[in-house]
Amino acid sequence: MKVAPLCTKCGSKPSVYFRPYSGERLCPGCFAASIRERVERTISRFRMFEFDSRIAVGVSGGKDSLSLLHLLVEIEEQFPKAEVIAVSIDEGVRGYRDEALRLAGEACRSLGVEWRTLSFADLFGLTMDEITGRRGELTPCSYCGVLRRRALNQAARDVEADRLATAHNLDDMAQTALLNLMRGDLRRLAGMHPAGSDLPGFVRRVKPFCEVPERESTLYAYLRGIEFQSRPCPYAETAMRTDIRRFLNRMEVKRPGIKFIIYRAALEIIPRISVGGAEPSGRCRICGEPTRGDVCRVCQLVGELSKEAEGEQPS
Amino acid sequence: MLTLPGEVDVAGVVQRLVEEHGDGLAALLLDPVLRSPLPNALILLNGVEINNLDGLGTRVGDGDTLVLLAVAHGG
Repeated sequence: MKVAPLCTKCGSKPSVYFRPYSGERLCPGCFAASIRERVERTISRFRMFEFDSRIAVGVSGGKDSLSLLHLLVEIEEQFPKAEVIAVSIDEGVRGYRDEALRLAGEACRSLGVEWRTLSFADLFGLTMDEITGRRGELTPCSYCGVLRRRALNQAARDVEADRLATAHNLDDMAQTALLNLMRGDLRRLAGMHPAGSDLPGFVRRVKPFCEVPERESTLYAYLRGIEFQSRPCPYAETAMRTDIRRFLNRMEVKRPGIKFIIYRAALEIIPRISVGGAEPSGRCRICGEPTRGDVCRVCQLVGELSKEAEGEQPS
Repeated sequence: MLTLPGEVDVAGVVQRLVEEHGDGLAALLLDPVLRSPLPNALILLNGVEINNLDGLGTRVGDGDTLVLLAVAHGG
């Protein structure tokens, strides 16, 4: 069997991973250290946290969020006044989310982290399985994205957090940049910045994993022995994001580093985007949450689904 | 446990697994255009990622452990 070369960082241990975009060959210890250093640098560069932040971490039970939870708990040990709380959302996808929630709960117990869950059923009166059965032209991901964002914000507010950390990785960032360009949605492109922003009614969302490629997040979880969700969401295949993800993954094999290039280009573009009326200016007349219009997107979607269930045509 | 005849590489093992387990595994592992697992899966032979060896051409021997992790799902 071929023997792997020595680690290019420490020079003493056999490497287990070749990093195509930098040419490094890394042993498990140097690989894990490089991920932690990158996350710490990202947090510092974008000033994501204060020394005494109360951080709600969105934990789905997947590889990215569980890795982020482990890392933030370790980093937070250096900041005695900071706190980490895990929040999970049960979207109600039978046979999928139940496995993930079990893994999230086990991780929180082993790390000694407070864990709070909220469900779509409790918040909106519908599960994703029910929504998928009723939906019109929108994909399941279109509903899930809007409702999960609201649910995570609600969960972060419930635990009185001042930051909501999500595990969006480099792949997510590059996909989102391309997706919003292809849809011509500059408002959403402007809103994808990893540092988030302070908006009334919203807990500031930050993305400490935004410069960690999905492959490396997976390897990090595997090498650390973190048990994570084993199956994909049954509804994911319908999303336009899936097409972009496949395209980018093919491109990354041919041209390593292309996801970083797209991500960095997006960061350059974002400050130059001028979108009038991007911030919520009022409150939804139904739920009272911040919105730019009369009725927020969550109430629009839930209202349409409720009308369909009653046999009416959505207006 | 997989029994394979003679000399085989990682590409051969993946092909055999897809033949045995059908479209579900193929959809999870293989890129639909390239028909390759490289874009969407992390593959480790005895704990070493195969791009750190000889990629899909890495030889697989008797008693070796091959781990296939689908990368592109779940956060």
